[in-house]
Amino acid sequence: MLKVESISKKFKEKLVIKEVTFEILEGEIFGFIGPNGAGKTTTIKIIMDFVKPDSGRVLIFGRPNTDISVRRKLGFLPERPYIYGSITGKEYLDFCADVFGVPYYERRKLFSRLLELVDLTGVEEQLISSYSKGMVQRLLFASTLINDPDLLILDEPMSGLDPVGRNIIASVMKDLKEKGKTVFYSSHIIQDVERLSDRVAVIVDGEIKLLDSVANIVQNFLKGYQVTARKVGSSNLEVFRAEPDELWPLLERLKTEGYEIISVEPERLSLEEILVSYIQRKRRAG
Amino acid sequence: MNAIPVAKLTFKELLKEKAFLGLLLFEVFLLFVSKLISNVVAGDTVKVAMDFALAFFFFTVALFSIFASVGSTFRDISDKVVYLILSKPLRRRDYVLGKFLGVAGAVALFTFFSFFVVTAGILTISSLSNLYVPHVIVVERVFLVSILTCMMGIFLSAFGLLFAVLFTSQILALLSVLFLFFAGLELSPVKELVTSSKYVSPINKVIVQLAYYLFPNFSLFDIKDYAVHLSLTVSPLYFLLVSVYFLIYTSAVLVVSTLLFERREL
Ligand SMILES: Nc1ncnc2c1ncn2[C@@H]1O[C@H](COP(=O)(O)OP(=O)(O)OP(=O)(O)O)[C@@H](O)[C@H]1O
Ligand SMILES: [Mg+2]
Repeated sequence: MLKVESISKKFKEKLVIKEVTFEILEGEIFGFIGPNGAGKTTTIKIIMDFVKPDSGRVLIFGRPNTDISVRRKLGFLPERPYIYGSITGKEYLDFCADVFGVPYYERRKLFSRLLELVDLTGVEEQLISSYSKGMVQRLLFASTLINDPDLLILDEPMSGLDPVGRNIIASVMKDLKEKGKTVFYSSHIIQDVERLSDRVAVIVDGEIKLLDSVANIVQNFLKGYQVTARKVGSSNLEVFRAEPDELWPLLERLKTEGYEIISVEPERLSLEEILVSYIQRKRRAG
Repeated sequence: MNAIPVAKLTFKELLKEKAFLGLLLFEVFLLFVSKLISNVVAGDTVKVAMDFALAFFFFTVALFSIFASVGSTFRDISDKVVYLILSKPLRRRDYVLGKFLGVAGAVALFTFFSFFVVTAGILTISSLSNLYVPHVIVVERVFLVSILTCMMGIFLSAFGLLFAVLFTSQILALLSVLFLFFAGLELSPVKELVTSSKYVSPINKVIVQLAYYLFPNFSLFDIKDYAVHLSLTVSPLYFLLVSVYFLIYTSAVLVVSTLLFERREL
């Protein structure tokens, strides 16, 4: 789907992207996380051919990203997107439809479907200057779907949105995944990334530090288990802790001691805790 | 033609910009100024008023062209509208051409409205004086002036676009186009001065001659004397040659703008 092959980029002697390599597979939601200034936007700009890398290359659908035909099936939302306030929402959607050659008789239905998706029904005739910031972002997000893209590239699609807006975007992304579409997006909001992504890449100071599935990362950072049990015949619940590799021995012991196991809860760090500690550790080491 | 959607978007955006209506109102104000000047200056009041009104007309269209081309392109780049546009299956040259066509359309419409404003103003001024003025001929000539003024505006827009993709500072781009415009209006006096001077070496004279022909000559589009002084005539050949100059030069500027924009990091 999308292949980034060891791209590097210098801005005025400062190496901002260092040999970044990753591949996004068909049908997955891929989260791209990192602190401010890590190089997320720069990487995305290189993918979109707005900025040329000093070395390396990017393939989209197996073709170089400079080939504009790859954009027929691509949707892109920039960071903090903006569009002229002096036109209406419909006029902007018309522009997108013009580019993709959507015939006029299909537009009314298409536009209302897209607007409904992001909860903007009925505002298309209003000037964009009368929209709130979140509405603009949702409109522009919806407009990226106008060509029914196979791959969506979104730079912080949820920042600046309230929880309702974030949920809207997240549920559209999930729907797209169900339809077999691929989504690549960057974010600061790790909770969203955790519940939404199949895989994540973490970029810090222009380098990919970690790339794995969310399940694996969280699994690897398992702190231990909490076992709730009750002696047979007693009504008091007791709570036991086990280190990750001591769960089975604990369960065996409890069984022989005549306990009834009520529940076993893994104690996990959230993705956020993992990344914060990870990034801090790397920073100290570097 | 992938440039057309960009042209439509640019056109729609520009029509609703404050500069469009603002400069049209400014034009009305300048007509009053022309009338006032004609009252205090000696000579045929209607001719003096027309002279000023048409000069202001030329100037306002130039201002609109500069603000429209530089402003709109800078808004796109600094507010990141280009990212939205260029993420679509459009080449950078489609963007430059579309932007130019959109601005050109807005300039044409602005000139068209201005033509009505200025004509109405001139007819009102002439009916207030008791001199004889052949209205039909005047309107016809003001119309011809408008056509060349419009061409000038579009020509200037191409430079606006060029400077907007060349510079990263909007003020610098605006000032450069303004400078280019005023310099391009005063070419012949400067050339006359230099080539007739005893103190300029022949080589420098040649350089000045060459610069004269290469530098964009905005005064070619200024035929207001022809509208004011009805005894003057302009041959159709003049219109033809100016049109050819306009087409060739504008195309060249667009090609250069495209090459620059294709190399620009966004
Ligand atoms: N045009 C540029 N010229 C010089 N330096 C730049 C340019 N663009 C980005 N940088 C630098 O590159 C680094 C990465 O920036 P980038 O915008 O990619 O970060 P980011 O991960 O998107 O951050 P954020 O989370 O704040 O959006 C920063 O240090 C930034 O200062
Ligand atoms: Mg960013």
